[in-house]
Amino acid sequence: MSPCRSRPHPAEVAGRPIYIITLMQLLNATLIKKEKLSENIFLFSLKIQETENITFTSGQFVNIYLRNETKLLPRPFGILSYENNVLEICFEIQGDGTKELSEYEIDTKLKCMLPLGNGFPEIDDTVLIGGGLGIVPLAPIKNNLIAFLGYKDKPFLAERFSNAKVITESEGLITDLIREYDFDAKTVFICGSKNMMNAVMPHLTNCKKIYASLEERLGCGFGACVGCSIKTKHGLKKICKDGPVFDLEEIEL
Amino acid sequence: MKNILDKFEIKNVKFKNRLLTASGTFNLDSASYDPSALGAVTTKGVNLEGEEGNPLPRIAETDSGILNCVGLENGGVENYIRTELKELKEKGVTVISNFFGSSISEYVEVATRLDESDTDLLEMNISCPNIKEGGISFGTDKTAVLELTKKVKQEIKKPLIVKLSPNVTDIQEIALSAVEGGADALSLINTLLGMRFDIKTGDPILSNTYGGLSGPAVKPIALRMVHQVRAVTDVPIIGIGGIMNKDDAKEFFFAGADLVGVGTASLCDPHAIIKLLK
Repeated sequence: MSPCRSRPHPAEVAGRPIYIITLMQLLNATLIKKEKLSENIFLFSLKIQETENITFTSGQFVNIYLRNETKLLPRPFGILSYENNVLEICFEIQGDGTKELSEYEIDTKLKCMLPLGNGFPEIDDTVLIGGGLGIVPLAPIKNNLIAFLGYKDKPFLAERFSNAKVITESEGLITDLIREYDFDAKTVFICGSKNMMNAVMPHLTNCKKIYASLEERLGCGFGACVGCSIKTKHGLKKICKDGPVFDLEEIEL
Repeated sequence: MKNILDKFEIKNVKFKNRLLTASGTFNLDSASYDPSALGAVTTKGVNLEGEEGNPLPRIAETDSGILNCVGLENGGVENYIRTELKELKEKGVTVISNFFGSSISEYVEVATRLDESDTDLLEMNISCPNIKEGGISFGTDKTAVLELTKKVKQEIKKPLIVKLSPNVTDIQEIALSAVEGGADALSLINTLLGMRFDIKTGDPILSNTYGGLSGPAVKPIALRMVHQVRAVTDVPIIGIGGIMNKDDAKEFFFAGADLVGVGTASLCDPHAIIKLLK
């Protein structure tokens, strides 16, 4: 099984482009652990049969293919962790596909493809801002300064973060959490709903750089269908292949 | 009994086997196999100046199908010839360049450029709105199809495939118009017009409201149309519509197709198409 061609990451760190190898293979996965974090939110551990050493950067995602063959499209999820051939994903039920996924029992076999997309650049001392399931792509980052996490109901996976500040809707909004923080010269990684991002953006005018992980309906998830193009200052880019992480200065919102 | 591994020929252009990619689903960067192993690659449609395509969402799902309103995003014919076509020809791929326009003159201009290039064949997408005639699709009007095909055919030397839209009342009369206009081959079907609603909001999911349906869901319609078109013409037919495996391809051969195109399957499994040759 050979990796597909590599391509440079849009964010060059210290003048060095980051090359990310993508395996364009359907891998065999078995559900080995399932945890219900709340009414509609699940944490799954999947053992990948193929033992090639896959590495990923935070912000990359995995395509999960459902067992029901009438559902043709993969469901893309941020990679929460990948270690010793065990992939972790955390997802919320949104529709038919995620509902089906949530009902799989231990030992269920399915196919997946990872790692996909370009993740966050490897930069130290970043400020992480995550809302709801948006915290997942940020969770693998360990060298951050601080992490602001906003939730609708009860927090989940907050323990995965270094230096986390948590708020739930009953207490306030994520904007309350970041209001007093000095963003001057900081690099921010943000992931969450469009509403959350719009609310937070005015507070980030001082920061050095903002990288956002964008969420949209995808098609194939690996760059073939042209279903996820967005306008950037350097032309049309694919969310699944050039993103989902983008330097916000690049995006024409 | 036709076999997918058999050779084929359209007007001196040789195909090493009967399997092609359907337009809009092949991307050299995202291909996990050697495209020169296929009979041909049909590239994504290009027009003169390029298109940005539609806003997102461009993709929705239905049982055994996909809806897309990508909106013919492309970088224009010149850019295509300089980049993707050049790369594909360097790899030894037989290339069918798909093209479209919003007026007969644009179709002719793009076709002329492609004819001068290294492409092996041209495939004309007629499922486009005719801007001059108020946006009515070329492909639903047999007179428009005849005139368009004639005008393009008289300017080019390379073989012309006309790709038929299934959103018509009578596919046979459209097919006959294309053949009368000089089409060297026909490919069908293009996507069927459909839509989905978001259950939570009550709004259409696709940004363009309607989109093209493809995948296994359309196979019976595609087969029926291939069968109907075969009944009225002897020209080579490329059968497209929900082919996922060898048995699906066989059905298209039974219906009368000479070559088969695989599109949607490649979006679900990058190796699906190459498995048809095993």
